Amino acid sequence: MTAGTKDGSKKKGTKESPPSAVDKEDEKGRPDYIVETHGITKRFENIVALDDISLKVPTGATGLLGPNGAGKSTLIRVLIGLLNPTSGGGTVLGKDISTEGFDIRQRIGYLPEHECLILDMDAVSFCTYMGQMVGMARSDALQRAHEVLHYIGVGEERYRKIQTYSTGMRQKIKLAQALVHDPDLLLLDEPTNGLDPRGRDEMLDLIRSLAHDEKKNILLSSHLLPDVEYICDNVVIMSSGQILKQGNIKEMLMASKTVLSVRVKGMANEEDAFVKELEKAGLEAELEKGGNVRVDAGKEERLTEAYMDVMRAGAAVGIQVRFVSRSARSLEDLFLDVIRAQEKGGHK
Amino acid sequence: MAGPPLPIPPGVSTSPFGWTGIRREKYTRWKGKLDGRDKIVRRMITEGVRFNMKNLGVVALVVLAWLFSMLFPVLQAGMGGLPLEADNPSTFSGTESTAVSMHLNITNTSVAVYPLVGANLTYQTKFFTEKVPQGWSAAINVTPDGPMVRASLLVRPPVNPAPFDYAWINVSAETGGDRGRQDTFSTVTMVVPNPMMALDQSAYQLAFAKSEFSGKAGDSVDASFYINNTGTVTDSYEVTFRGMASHWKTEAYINGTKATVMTKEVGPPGMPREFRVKVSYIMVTVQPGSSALCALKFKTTADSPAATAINVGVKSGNDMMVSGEYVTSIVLKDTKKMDLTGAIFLNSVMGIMPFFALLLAAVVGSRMIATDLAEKSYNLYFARPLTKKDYIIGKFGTVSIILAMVTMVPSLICYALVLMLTSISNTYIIDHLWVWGAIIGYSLVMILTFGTMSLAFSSLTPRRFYAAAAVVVIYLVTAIVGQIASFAFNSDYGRLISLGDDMNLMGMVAFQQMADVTLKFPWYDALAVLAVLWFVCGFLVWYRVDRTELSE
Repeated sequence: MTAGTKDGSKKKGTKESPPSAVDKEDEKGRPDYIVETHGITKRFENIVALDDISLKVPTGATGLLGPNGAGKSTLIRVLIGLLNPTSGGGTVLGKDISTEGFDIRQRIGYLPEHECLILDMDAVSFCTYMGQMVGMARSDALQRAHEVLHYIGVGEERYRKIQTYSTGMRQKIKLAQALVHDPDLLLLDEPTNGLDPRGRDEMLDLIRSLAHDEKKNILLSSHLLPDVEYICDNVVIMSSGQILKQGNIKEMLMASKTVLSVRVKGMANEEDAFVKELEKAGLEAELEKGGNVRVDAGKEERLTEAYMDVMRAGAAVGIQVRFVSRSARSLEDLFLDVIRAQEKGGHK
Repeated sequence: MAGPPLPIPPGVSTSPFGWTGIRREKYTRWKGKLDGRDKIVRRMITEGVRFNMKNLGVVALVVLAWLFSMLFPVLQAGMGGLPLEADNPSTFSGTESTAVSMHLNITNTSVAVYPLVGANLTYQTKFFTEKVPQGWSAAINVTPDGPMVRASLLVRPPVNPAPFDYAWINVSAETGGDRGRQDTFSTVTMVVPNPMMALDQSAYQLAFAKSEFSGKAGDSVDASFYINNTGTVTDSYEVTFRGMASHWKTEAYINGTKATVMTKEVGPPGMPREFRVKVSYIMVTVQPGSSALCALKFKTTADSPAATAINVGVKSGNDMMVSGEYVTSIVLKDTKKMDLTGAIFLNSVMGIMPFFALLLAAVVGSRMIATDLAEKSYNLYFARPLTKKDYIIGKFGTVSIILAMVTMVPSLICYALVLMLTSISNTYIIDHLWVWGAIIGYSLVMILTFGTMSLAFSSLTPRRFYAAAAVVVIYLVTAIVGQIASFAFNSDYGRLISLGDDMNLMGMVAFQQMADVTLKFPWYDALAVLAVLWFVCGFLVWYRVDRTELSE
């Protein structure tokens, strides 16, 4: 294995090539977590951009979710070895982020958030060039450029200069250059930024296909919850340089509170009495617009009991319970819960 | 053997090119091998050059540079009209001799005849007389004798001269106006009342026989002359040799017998030692009516400068009139072929190249980093296995190669073609290996200057037009300011500001044309100015790139 130095360069005297992207030993020895960090802190003078970040990103697609300024891009720069953390450390694809930046950057594909294309080039030349910049021979890079451009759906336009492309096409070219060397991990920073609805759908389908059909490891940084929810199995929620929550999306939703939506018919004072009766039964209830009552049922296993409590409360205040349904929880609910909890001081 | 085509799994898109999707197990050619940093940087340079050479403007500039620099010299060489080396007009060749009798006693009716010069020269020799006293006459008879010139000075006393009246007449001989050879010697003619006294005379004759002299270490030049004692008593002559550097050695033979060469210090009496000069000499004793053949061999033990003067003096021990005043000298000059290679390459071949290098630096170099800043493509470079140092090397390498295409490459090719097409002496190629180095050295000066300057401006602005304009403007402004400063301060040092003058001076040093340099500052001052420019520009590029981070 090639040793690296802090700036990502190979140690003097080591002439062997960097590890192959399809190295079988590497396949066998691939760690459970593609990214693993321990207490990473990054300070820029008085600003704490990352505050004690410890995370474990499993294989598959993971969303890095957070509002603007949450520290997502800084975390990516630290992970690919372009910024040294002030303290803490970690690994990406099993490589140390402080000393093996070269190996890491050779095995990842990065789609930056901003415009970054060489506009005077055509798509084929550009992707070929980017493949060579990772270490591919020109002929191999040229072949792969055609393959990935075809894969992402760029036809004969690939011979046109990039400056003539639409925003959606340019975004696809950015994805192609990240894919050209078949990286073990794709880092996608706001890939749907600036796209119209159709372009956004195409891009999301492409990334989803990469994640689910091609089994690519993806770390998707976005502030758009539906994008993350559509593509990713796992999520890391960040805010103000801290990790607020991380884990499998489905499991997190399952583990969160169960909500019942109850529609009742009765006088206004009866609805208030109904809510109070529910609270007496130990349930959190909230009267919503239109006479619906939102009941927090707690854990999943309390669902039946909560249902019985709703029915009992209705009977007690003499109100007609017309409809009870389990409300579907989304990532947005989860995200808002987490953010609210942080604002209340629930998180560090 | 190739097996049957692999089945395409359902859901995998197929390519019209016969490749399958992006799945690594279906790669038709690439097996996932990735090379290290050194190859990546090399490819960055190669692709940079390839990309720029797709630009018609760049190609046009390169083609024009090749045409302007190579076409005429190569055509001229092909037609046999490119003189890489020529006869040196300031070089003596063949043999020549100087024969002088300096002191003659005559009676009042006789005529003194001084044999002057017998020369085998390719250039005409002219004689002049000076200080002819009133009443005396001095005439010079010149008789061509094949390639030789025989001449004599006839000194005639006035009618009824007073006893012991004398004429001290100087004679100068110029051989070829541009050769710089000039001999001056004096004659003293005295009227003696007794015809017998006219026989009591001392004289010597010098005859230098000189073969071709290269000035190289180990080479030698021979001189021989006769000392004729035409007097009536034995005379002891002191023969001195002066003007030689310490690495010159002298051997002397008198009538074939090796003589001891001694040294002594001469100079004004009572003056400190540093005012005294060390002189080599031999003593030659000649019987009356006899002559002695002095053969001298001057040998240099180290490479000598282009011109060396050796003064040989003969002083009679008996007659004060034959003294150290009567010294003749011979100037030996380097007989190497006059070398025109440096002048041709500096002026004809590479003279136009700074202009094209400047334009290419403005077109290509200025966009190198500026475009990345404008398009934020540095994000892609820095997210790849490249350090910022690699990035700078890659960018500078690209500019350097493109600049080399209008400087170093055509010059080297032109020199090779000219060597093939021109008739040159056998030793020319070996003697002129330095030309390859001069071409490379001068090209590197241009590449470093324009390359670093264009990259520095390119790193300062995302607008490549501004960077290009800055490169051209700075070059022109330094030239103008240099001239103004030179006039204002009445000093050539003002020209140090001019990058063009500094580079040109480097070219003159490289191509050994320092004799033509009119600037009054040493070349290493110009090199220091350029080195400072390279360092400052390099630092600027490093500073700017080092502080460029991935976009937030």
